[in-house]
Amino acid sequence: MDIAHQIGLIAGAAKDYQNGLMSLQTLIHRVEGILAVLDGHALEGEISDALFSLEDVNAHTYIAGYDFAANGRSIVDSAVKEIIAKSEPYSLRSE
Amino acid sequence: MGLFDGYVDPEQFRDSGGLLGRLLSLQQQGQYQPSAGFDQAPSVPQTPALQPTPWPNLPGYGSSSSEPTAAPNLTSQYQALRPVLGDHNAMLATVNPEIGKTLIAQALANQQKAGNPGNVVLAGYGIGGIRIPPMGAAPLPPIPVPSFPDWWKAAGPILQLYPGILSGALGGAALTRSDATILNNEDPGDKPSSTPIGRRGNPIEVKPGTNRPTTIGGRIYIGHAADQMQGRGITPSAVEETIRNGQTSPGRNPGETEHIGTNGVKVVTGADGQVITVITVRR
Repeated sequence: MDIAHQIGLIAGAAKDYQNGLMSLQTLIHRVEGILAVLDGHALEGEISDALFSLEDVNAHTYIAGYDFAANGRSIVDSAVKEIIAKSEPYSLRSE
Repeated sequence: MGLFDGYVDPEQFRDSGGLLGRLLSLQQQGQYQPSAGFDQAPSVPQTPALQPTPWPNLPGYGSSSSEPTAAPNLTSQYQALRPVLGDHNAMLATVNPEIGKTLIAQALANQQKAGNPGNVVLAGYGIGGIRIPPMGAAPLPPIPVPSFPDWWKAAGPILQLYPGILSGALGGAALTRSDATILNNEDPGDKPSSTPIGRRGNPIEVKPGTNRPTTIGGRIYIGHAADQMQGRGITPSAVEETIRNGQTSPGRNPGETEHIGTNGVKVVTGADGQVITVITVRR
């Protein structure tokens, strides 16, 4: 399995979200699914907190009627940037 | 004896209302009464003008001559013979027993030659006063019929899949999801077993709002939590295990609690213990 390619998919999904090409729900599912495939890779521990922040906002968005809570946007933006920043180094490596 | 010796033309009864009219007339005059074993019990001694036909040449009927035979209603006899002999011959057989014997014998011979005595036997059961024993096939074994609750319950998932089946094809009222749920005796939050479910490593994206808030095991799950559980294949028991035995920390919002279990499940609960969301984490 090309792990760098898989991790590159995570970074790519995060960028797609930034560009408005996918929903927060989809981004969370995609990142979560790829991390599960990587099963035990160090990246999982590094971005799990950011991923959970996304899911937390996602849940409260649902509760609030699909509108971001007051600080939801900033939390999401920060978490997405963190995911991209931590995954790109792995995706550029050849493992 | 010629086939039509003694033939009685039914047209001769036209002036008196036809053959049926004549039979009814005889009945009203007391010359003919329905016999015992039929719908009406005889009220006066029978002195029928037309004697019942014993049909002694029918298979299995040989011993009947020594048995008391009830006098059949001629109309019933005619109706009973019609399937075997046809309209015309049945009428002949009814009014002329000798011709009737010949015609029935011919019908039986034809049926046996064709290897299908079914019509004769089936018709024989309906001949008033004439006993024809069953021929050929034994009675079929009883077909097991599912008990009422089984098919009633089975209808639920089918109607959930095709909610318009009643309203569209049959013009009835549409079956709502809640109706189907009641049929299944399920909790309103239940899903059919065919519902797609993701799993760890292969989650599926469940459209937000697919699931409604529900209560499982006394714990409330908001709709989003149920969506996430379905998409990730996380069972309520895994969630409950995480809440009860997982590592607990304050949540990011007031009143909320985060639970991280050793089973790789992270759960956020609200102030009332309701499940807000569920996510998989590294085990």
